[in-house]
Amino acid sequence: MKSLTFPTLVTFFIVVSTLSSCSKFFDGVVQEIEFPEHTPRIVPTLIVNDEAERIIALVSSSASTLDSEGPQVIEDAVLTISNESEILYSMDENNLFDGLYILELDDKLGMLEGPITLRVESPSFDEVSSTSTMPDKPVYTVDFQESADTINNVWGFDILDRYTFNIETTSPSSKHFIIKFYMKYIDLYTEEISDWETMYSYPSFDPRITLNYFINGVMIYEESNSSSATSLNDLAINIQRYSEYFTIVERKVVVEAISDDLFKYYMSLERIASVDFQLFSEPTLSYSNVSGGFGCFGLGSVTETIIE
Amino acid sequence: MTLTQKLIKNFTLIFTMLLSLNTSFSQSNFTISGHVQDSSSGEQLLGATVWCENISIGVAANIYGFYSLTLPAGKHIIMARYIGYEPQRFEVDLSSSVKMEINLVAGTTLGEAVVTGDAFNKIEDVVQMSKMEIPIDQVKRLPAIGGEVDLLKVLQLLPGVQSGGEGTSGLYVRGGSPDQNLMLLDGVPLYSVNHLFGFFSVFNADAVKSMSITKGGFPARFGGRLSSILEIHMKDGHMKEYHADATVSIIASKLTVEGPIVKDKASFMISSRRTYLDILIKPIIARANNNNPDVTTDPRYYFYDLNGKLNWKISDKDRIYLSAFTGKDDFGIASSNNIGNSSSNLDFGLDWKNSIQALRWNHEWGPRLFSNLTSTHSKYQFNTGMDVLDISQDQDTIRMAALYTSGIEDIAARIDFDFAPNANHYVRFGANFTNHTFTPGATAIDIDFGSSNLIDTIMGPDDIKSNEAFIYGEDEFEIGDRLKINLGLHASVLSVEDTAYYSLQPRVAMNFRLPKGYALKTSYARMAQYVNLLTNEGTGLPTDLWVPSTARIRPQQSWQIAVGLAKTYGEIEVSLEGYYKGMDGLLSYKEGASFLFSTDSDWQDKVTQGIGNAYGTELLVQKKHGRTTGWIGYTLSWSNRQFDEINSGNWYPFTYDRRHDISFVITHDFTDKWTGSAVWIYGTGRALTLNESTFSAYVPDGESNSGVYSFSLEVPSEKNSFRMSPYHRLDLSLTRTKNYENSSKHLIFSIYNAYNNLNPFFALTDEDDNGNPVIREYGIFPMIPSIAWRYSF
Repeated sequence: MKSLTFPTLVTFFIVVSTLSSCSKFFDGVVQEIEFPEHTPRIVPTLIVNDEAERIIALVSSSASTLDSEGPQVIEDAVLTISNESEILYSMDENNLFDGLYILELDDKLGMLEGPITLRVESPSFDEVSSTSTMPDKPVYTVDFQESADTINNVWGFDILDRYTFNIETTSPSSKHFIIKFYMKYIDLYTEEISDWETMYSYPSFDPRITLNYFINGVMIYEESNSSSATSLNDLAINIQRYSEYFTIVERKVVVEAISDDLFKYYMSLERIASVDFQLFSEPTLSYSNVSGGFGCFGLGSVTETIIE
Repeated sequence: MTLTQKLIKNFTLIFTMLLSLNTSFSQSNFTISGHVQDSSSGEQLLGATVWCENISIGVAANIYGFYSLTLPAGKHIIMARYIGYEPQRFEVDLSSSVKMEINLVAGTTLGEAVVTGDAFNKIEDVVQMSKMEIPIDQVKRLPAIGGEVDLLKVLQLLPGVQSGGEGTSGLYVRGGSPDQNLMLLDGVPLYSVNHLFGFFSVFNADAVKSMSITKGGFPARFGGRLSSILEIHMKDGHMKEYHADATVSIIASKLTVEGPIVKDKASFMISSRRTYLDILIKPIIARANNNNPDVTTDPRYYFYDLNGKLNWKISDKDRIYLSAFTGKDDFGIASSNNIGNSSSNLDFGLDWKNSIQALRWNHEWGPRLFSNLTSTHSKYQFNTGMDVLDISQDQDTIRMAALYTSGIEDIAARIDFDFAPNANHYVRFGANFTNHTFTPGATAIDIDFGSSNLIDTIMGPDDIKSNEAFIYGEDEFEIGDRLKINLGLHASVLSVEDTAYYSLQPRVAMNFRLPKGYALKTSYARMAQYVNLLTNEGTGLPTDLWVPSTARIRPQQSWQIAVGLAKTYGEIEVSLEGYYKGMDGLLSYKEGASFLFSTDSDWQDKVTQGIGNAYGTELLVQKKHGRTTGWIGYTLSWSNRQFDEINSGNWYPFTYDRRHDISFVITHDFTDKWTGSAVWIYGTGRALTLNESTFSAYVPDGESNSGVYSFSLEVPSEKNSFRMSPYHRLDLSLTRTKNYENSSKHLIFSIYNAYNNLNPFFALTDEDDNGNPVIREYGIFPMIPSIAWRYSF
């Protein structure tokens, strides 16, 4: 009998424990993780280029992940944009429209010289600021080649138009660029000419060219440690030839030189987007050049070219 | 003359000198040499000690069971010992060098193997520190999940060795990552040791003779990894009789067969293991599919491994071993959907497999010089893919298939020499050459529309080849009665992409005997590592990629210093060690980067290198003999990382930084029939990164940036600044053994997580009862009882 004691006890223990554990593991929850108190901060986003006819800023407060209300627009913020000697532009609650601070300009913004500082203050928060520099206008040539290539797809194949750029990188302030592609076409039904519509480029294996879905364009940069870095010459970008389906009447490329901070901000957004789609990737933080740690103040300068 | 030619020339010169020393030696000293082996099976007893009682000097047998002890002429009392075996005392009268095979008799229980008096090889006698061995018999008696004994999970119970998470087999040794462990199966490196997504390791305990792990104070003969050396040796095979061992558990079945090919000359051992979940659920799936034969779903998962070894004693001086291992995991799901003449078929699969082969030749050049020549092949491959086939009513077919492959293949040769010129010196030296071929992730895409093949291409980085070589030399010697030193140098070189990396790695270990039987030990070791595992921390999936050091990716390097105290109190060994390890060249994905299905041509753009450190204290109290055996381990440790492109360049805790780690392991033989064991572990919660806050932002939108596209962004915390709840668990096991004249039966009950603690496995954002967001930890493993049956003859 003595030798039966152990198996009997073990069997009894297993049965009782199994039954008692079922409910506990049904939900599988161990416990909730306690978060530290979050102190809300001003988060400004203001991105503008020299061709802009309005300045748009979004000023929100940061919120804890556990805050069910989420981030809120700060409605009593005062924004100033200044150079080293004077305030150039300012906005306050009178400029608030649909959650955005908007300042309509009499003319285009034009080139801003020297360091430009954005300051944002609100009675309920600590002031934040950021300083950036507007890069020189981009200088480039573009060569357009219609029906330059084809690529297979599941329905057959696409015909590709090719834009080949040579961008000057001699200016120390112009190292990073965005290129966007637009077209005007004749609507098949109304036979009216459309407004400028975005054209989307095909992915490229050129390490200097990165598609960025946030900005509807491509980012161009020469990464110094890239294995195949050369320069910003012979940048070939392919666009589907939409003229198969309707008549394009005009094409336009917009090349924008962007500040270093703005480049890092856009790249971080692209990384965050990729994290959402790629399993097991490391968490990532959006870039910020604002003293509070969140948000971005970015400047750009634009050169447009109409493709004949 | 190239550097390699110079090394070969110097190496040959040293070897010739030693050979002459080996044969012309002082006539007042003679050498007793041979092998220490199991008397019944002929199995070599590696690490067995041979001790001369009258002059108190001794040696330990090397990993092939060979020993060489040089003594003055005259009569001597020799004592040979090994854990689990009856000690053997005999007298020799040396008037010339003699060869003597020592056959030890296994004790019927561990309790009979009593070590008393001034036994050699006590923890305070050996120079080597930070090395731990657990007898396989003891491993087999510990509780196991699903009744399946796992060697790596047992190693995780030792101080300084931590697990990656609930149920996983990954080893994190003294703040290092899993790729920093050199896992040698019969001397061949294994690159993936996981079955079932890490819940089991590939090591089948029934096929294993011994295992040990070295966490620091690395002797010069080892190199190529920063954090640990895990040595696992397969059984050689019984030289005299046929034996079999069969185990049936709820997860897998195992069968091991061994026996002589030519009695006392050649033997074999073959061991296989396979899970059978796929076979068991097949009738259930078939029944479920029968309800609707047009729609079928067929999931599958199994793993198997196969170990084999041949052992041929060609002559008294020559022995050949042929070892092989292959193992595979196959996971997938196939489904089909038929409507009329049309059908849609999908097959998703994920598999990974390992295979190694090793051919070794032992040769005794004389009583004092022993060599082992090894040639090895090791291959690891991971595949995942999907195949979709649609057939329309008109019998038009569309097929789309993608297959992602990655892996590593090594071909290597190695020569090792053991030279014992006298009782005070034991010299080891040797060389190694390895050719690596890396496949760092290629994606094959095949798309067919009926007769037209639209896309049939392979995208991804090219294979990379590299050559790695090293030479080493070490001498273990005594200065006076109290100081033992192991001094060595390991020199390695890597040639890759027209770039060469050189590394000189000094190794020093010292043992200073203090009064009252205490030993003060200290060690210093520099290490270099030329292969890297790219992994997303915490997943432990086989999607991890092996990549080499290249012209752009510098090798990983470390230096480690350790200081410790050791003493044996009766049958209980106690060691206390402190260590500090600095690491450089650590490799990690950049933030936001991932590798799976990447078609980028250069993976090196996605990674970044940084530095790290780890430091802490480890306490081990271990009882290896008697009816009650086990250990208590405690680790207090810190481990940190710094990468310029991660966490804004700030230092952060490594994911497996664990402040406290405690383990209690006990096994007790109640009677000859009943054996019980218990394991309790506690560890500080794993570090993790969570999204801490959120804010609104925008990017310009529309032509001329006249509008905006706004969105919310989440802000991760400082990397790894949160902690999961502490982990603790009790496992119990009870074994009933019935011994017959020539066989035995074992019935093994075990309970994993006996007090049913829900340990955290992952954390997710959720909502509480009021709809407010909360972060919750989830556990997956409740108490798991299991039963296994084992029969051996």
